[in-house]
Amino acid sequence: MKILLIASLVLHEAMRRRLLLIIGALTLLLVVLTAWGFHALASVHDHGRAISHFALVVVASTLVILMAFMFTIILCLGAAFLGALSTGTEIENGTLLAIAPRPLRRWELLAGKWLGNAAILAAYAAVSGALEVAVVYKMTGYAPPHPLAAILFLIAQALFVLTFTMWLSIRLSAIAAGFTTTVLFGLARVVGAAGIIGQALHNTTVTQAAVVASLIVPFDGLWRAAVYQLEPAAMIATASSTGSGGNPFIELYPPTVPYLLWCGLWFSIVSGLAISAFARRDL
Amino acid sequence: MTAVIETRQIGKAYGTTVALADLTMQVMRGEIFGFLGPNGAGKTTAVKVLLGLVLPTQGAAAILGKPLGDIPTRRQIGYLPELFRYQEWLTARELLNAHASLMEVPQLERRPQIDAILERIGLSDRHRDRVGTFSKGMQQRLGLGIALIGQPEVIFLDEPTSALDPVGRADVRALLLELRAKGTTVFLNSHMLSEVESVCDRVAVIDKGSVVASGTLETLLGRFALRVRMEEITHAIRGFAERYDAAIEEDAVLFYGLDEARVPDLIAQLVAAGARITSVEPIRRTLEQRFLELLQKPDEDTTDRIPRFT
Repeated sequence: MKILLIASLVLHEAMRRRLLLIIGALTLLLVVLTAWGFHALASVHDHGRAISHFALVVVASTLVILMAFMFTIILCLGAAFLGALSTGTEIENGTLLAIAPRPLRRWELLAGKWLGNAAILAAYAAVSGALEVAVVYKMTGYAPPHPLAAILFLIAQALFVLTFTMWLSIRLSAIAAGFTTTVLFGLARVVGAAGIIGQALHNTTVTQAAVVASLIVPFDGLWRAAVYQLEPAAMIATASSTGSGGNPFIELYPPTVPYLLWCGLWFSIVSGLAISAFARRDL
Repeated sequence: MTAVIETRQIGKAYGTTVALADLTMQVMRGEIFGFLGPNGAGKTTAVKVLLGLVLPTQGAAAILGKPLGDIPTRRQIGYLPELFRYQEWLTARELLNAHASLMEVPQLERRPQIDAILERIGLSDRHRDRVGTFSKGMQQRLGLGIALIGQPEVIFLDEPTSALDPVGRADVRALLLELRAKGTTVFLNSHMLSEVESVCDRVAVIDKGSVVASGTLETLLGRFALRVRMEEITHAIRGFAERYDAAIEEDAVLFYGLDEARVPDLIAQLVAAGARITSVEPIRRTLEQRFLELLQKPDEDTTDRIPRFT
């Protein structure tokens, strides 16, 4: 399989350039810091008494979501870097000139690049996510309700960013593609927050504009889907009753089926655009 | 002979800029075909179009009888780009192995084939070193090796000696002749006119994206000529010269369109006719002179002296 060969070259490059080593070392560091932090949290006393289990769950679940927020930024920025550098840079510096005339189709070349980078991102998210959840559980006894689903949504978000950047990098310079995706990623966050504010204020225009923008760049919705999977039922119930659902770290509703279907369609469209653009790209 | 590469009015335009106008040519099986032209003439664009790296905006072409981009045909095509750049984090052997996989070289044949190529390009002792540690010349040698992987029927070499020293260039010339002996077709895009002259069977000169001349070197350069200088142009010598349609100069006779094998006989006949010969000068236009003429940039120093035979 030519796709697997190209993907293996991507992984080989990540290994030789010490990317995997650095990712591993940083993950280990984060796990150690998390263990220390949550151990300290479990030892907190309120006027000489240990804090209640409920309070511990509330604090731990909030911190887990904050950590997930940090990971989503790392993952998405990493995806933008990898997406821009893998294809865009190789087009610019001519590395593809020796590979593209080989007996493989352009889409196979692109799919191989995507697969290699996706494997790096997914492995990073899965391993670091699993380790963090395990450490939190070990230190506090708290485990988020659906960690696997949350990690899958975080991976999906990173893969959307990767795909989008790879598409852009076929037409734009690598640096412009990476920068554009990063800006859109930030914009998606702001638009997501604006939509929540619009709903809270019953402002139809703002809400609709936010919905349209989130459909064009559906990154934020996937983050919210991940947040929902990390929230304990009590936290959702409390947020619902107090009406405190208007921030990026609390999500009251699971992702809707139409939204998930749209995400699948969006991914297919962007992948198709990338394949089509690469097939017509002069190298 | 069958045509291995055939193009019909291939063109490539970037907006209003025409990189390739209407390239029409044929490259025959087993020949070394020189592709010449000044900077910006469209040589590299033509190669890239033929390899499917650049999509043409007009015309049609075929390699080994198949339209451009045919995937199975690509197993029979090797390529050394002009601006060669390889995965610097791979070792030479790993890189060759990756290309062998892409070219679907059977597993059992890979190692011996890669070993032979490393030996041929003079990198056997560096096969474990990363490409990033290689000099430019070594990377170009490696690029030649990559072009040879899979024993392709057609090899495109775009300026294959641009980074090589004189020894390396001689080695490439020898390699080209070896390839021809094996029946491999070589499409050689080069600025090194002496290199082209010494190895190519046929050449095409392009300018502004179109072929301005093509054919065998003999066709392109004209035939061999001979200037015979002598102490005196006697009446008998004049008569002799007229029979050969030769030009008479102050102290020499200039014979055109000679077969080189006939030179000893000609000299013997001149001596027999009483000529006291002081020198015999073979005259042949170089490819560079012809190239400059074709591009309407005649070299004033040499065109005066060198007669035109066309």
